[in-house]
Amino acid sequence: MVAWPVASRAQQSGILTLPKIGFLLAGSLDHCLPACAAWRPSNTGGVSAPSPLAAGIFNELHQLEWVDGRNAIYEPRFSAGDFKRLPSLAADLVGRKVHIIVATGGATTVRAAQEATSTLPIVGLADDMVGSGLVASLAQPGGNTTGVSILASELNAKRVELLAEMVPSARRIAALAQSKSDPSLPRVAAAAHERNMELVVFEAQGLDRISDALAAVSTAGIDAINVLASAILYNGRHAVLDQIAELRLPAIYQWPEYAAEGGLMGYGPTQASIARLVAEQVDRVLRGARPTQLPVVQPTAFTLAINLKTAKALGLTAPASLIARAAEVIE
Amino acid sequence: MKRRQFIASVGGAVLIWPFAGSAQSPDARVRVLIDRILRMQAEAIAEKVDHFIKEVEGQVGWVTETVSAGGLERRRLDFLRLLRQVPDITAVSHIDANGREQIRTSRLAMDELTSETDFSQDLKFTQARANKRYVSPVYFRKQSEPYITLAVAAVRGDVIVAEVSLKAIQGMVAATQVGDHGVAFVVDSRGRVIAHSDMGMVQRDFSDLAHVQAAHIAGSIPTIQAVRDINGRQVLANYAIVARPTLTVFVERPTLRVFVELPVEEAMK
Repeated sequence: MVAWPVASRAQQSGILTLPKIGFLLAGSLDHCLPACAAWRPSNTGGVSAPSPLAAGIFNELHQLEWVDGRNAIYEPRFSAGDFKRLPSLAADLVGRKVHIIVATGGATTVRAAQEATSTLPIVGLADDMVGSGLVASLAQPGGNTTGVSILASELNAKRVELLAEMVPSARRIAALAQSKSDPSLPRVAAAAHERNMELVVFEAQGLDRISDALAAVSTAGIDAINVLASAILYNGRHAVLDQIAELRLPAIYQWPEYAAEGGLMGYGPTQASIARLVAEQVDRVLRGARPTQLPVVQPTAFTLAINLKTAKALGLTAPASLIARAAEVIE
Repeated sequence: MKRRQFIASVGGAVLIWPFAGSAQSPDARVRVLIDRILRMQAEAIAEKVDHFIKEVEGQVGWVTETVSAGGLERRRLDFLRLLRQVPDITAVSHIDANGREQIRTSRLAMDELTSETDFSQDLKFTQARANKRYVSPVYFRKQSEPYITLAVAAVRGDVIVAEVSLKAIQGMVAATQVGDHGVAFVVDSRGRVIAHSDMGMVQRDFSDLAHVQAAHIAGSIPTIQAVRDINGRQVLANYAIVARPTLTVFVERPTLRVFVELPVEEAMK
């Protein structure tokens, strides 16, 4: 294994050039490790939720002994859900001569990093790294980007099935997407049709669109809603969860952790497991692996979490099949 | 020849070698020792892999016992519990004695009941029926993660099929420290890397390496010593075999690194 020159020099001599890790993050960070406290974003307007994913990545990097201020320097930048800020944030990281950019806010964020540099290694996290054209293939990324791809298309469709099991009477379901051109939508529609349900797609292209999109859902005669994997809907998840609770709509979400926040159910990899996968990729690059041939990893562990209190409030009874599948049941 | 001490740092342990003259050169004798250590490390990984596969197989075996009892829904519940209990299984299905798929449950794909898909000519069905159990060659799901298909015969000629992620093997390899600059890796029957200390090597084709070819021919009697690794460096290597699926575990240490720590014959003259 070829050690990354900067990292090895820093580790051997303990002086001067620590590897500088640039982070390009959607969302904000209202709580994090003390080391990142200085990076509180200034103007999130209280709309964008704190990111357990970002905090998780910092935490995992510490576990892998890339500790901010000791043997690495973190340069986190938060777009707070405002994609228009991404190009300048990415350019700022390149200008500060970071050694690697960790871009975790979905395809748009990873692309912003790619547009800022074609030489610095990028570790990206996106719903579908290949489908979004961020890498040539999972096995051989082929450029300066590798990372974690979270199987969004399959999982978005699989969530339709789980939602249908929870609400067998549902005939008309909504998909709340960041964009009507979300590449997973054809599969999601097919999954709904297979279970004799009609799918209606609603779009929230920015944090400020979430409320209107859900207002539209409320007048469309929708029986249940599938909140698709999306960086915007993740950052605005408190608004999404609250408004869906108000509408008394059965819902399924991307992250299992949402069940603990009052969501009816969540299915997919946990944020903690994804944070680990991202940090491991960063660790490999810092130790000398070249993104062009470092395979993009995918999660293999998926968790179903159900909030039975929410189910009860909605007058739903979780069937045995969902309980059998659920790793986490919140009573 | 005067009695000398040779000190080698091998795998963290310091071995004192009182050498009192023999037909073998000191280099050769240290090599034999290192070779033995490499083989032990390879065997330790192979045992873990074997244990892992047997564990998963045991869990799948458990559902084969209940598959004849109860209706479709009951069986599906057993399958869902299996998925929850064994994170390494991504999908599990039930093929009836006529080779028709009755249940398929998955973490990713949509579940299917009574698809009646015909698997009667499929190896996973015919081989499991003939030999009680079938383990497929390794395949890469979406060209990314290594998997095997594991099929176990149930009562009355039914077959239970599980798709099993081998990602856990990467963890076993990564946890093995081979000196300062050594590596461990696992290749499938075609010489493709499914786990490596350096994850960037996963999926690379190692079938041209002399020791990978030799292991393939020699079977279970490890005899390899100095060879060239994938980067052309001289290494000492040894290996161990996992029978099903057919995997070979290699452990390599750079030759130079090993002997730079030793008094060289030249230097002592």
